[in-house]
Amino acid sequence: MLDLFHISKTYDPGTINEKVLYSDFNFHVDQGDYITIVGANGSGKTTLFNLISGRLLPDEGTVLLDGRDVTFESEHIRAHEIGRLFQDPSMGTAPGLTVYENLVLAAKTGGWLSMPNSHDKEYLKQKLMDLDIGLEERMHQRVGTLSGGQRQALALVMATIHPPKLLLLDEHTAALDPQSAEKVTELTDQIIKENNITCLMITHDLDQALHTGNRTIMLNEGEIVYDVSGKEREKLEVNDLIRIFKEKTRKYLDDEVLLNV
Amino acid sequence: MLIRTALELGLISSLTVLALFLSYSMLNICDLSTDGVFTIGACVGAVVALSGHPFLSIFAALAAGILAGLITALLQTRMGVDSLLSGIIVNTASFSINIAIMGKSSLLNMNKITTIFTMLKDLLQNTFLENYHILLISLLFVIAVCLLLNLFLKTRLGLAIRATGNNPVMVESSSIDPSFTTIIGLMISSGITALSGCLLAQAQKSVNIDIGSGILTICLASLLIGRILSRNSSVVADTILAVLGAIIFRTIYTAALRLNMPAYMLKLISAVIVLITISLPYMKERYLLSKRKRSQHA
Repeated sequence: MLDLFHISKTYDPGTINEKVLYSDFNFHVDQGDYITIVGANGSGKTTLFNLISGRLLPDEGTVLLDGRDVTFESEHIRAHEIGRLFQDPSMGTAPGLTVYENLVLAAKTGGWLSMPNSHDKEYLKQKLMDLDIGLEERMHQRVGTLSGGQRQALALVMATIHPPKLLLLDEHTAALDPQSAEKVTELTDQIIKENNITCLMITHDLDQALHTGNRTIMLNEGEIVYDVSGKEREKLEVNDLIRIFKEKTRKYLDDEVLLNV
Repeated sequence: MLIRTALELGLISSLTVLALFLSYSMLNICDLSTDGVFTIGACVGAVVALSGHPFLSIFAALAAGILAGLITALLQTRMGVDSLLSGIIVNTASFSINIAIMGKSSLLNMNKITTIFTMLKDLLQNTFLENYHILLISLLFVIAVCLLLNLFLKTRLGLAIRATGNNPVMVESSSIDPSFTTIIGLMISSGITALSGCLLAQAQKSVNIDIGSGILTICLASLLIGRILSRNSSVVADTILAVLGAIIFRTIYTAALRLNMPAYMLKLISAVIVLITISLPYMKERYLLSKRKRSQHA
């Protein structure tokens, strides 16, 4: 359902800071896939998401979404089909607006000059009640007053209120405290399953990488150095993944990863 | 009498304060074209009123402002000009445009013509409201603009505009083009600014090319006075406080005039108010930091 063909991306071309991040990169995602992505900092994980979501335009190559060429489609158009959650919980919500107002924008209730009616309000309230974290009682509070976990849960509802074809999760629980992270992970898995959303998840938690989804890829310097799914993946353990990483990259995983193991 | 004048000027300029509330507070853009757009509204309004159409004058000024706002917004969103610079460009260009609108003159006199204010004045003759025609009409416009603006900010487009200044990333994620919301927001705010200029021109029965000079700083000062009083409770409360800020500013200024402050000090005072309100939180932090440093060295 998602294809990247011959993607190249170079930062600061022609300067001393020139960094070739991707060159002739190819990537295929099947409908219903839930792929976890691991790799050291600077391996191009977030850049990959930026290329898919339209935040970055590749220097060369094509991005196909459901067979449609979206390479030159701007981010807000692609956002109809691609949802995204960021590591920073404040990225997915507008802090100066209330919980309810944020939801109204995400839900696309009615036309530009319409105001949400009582039916919409009930529907949005129900969406919050489904989260079961008491957000419905804070509907009219500004999002800026919520905790990181609450904001990320809200961002999750907003990104999936119209289930996207593809959901991009960029370490969306890394900045949360362990309890909130667990809750948000649980909610994410539930929503993905219920709506059968194709999903890509960047994570530093190798245990999570192996035990969520159906396929794991390892990125290093803009290349997929390891791609595993099915039976082989089921047998894999965190230690194997670390060993493979060392073999493939001859680098030690950074501290951030080791702490999460 | 002095208080009445303060209220009149406060109410008329509060429209520009409401425009800034939309562009500065909501969209997070400091629209430096405000002075020029205010003057465009005054000039267009005056020319149309002079041709014998006091009501059409209002709509013409509004339309001219909306067009100016569209240009400022297009410079930012379609031509890659920085938001401050695009305001400055439109502001500078508007000087020539305004002279042209006024027929190669820098001054228009409307003493003998009918304006919406003289019409109400005639209507109220010999009643106890006789001298309150300017106050009443300004109040009517402020209430109408306040009401419409608040209704608008509750619509999906209004929410999108508020979110654009707040978090453009989230706006794009919600499949909304932030340049679209910026364009609509600046068109509306510039329209209101021009309306404000048109009302001032009709009320004081004259326009000169300098009518809008410094209005941005004056109205920003008013907006910030309102913000000091704000409890961040709701948008409705904040718009009312913006109007109140304009009235407070004019009242203080009028009081200062009574105490023999020369009239030319207006712009210095407004500049100082803007400076203080913006830099106070920063200065306070620095002061506390230096206090901590000193106590550690002691």
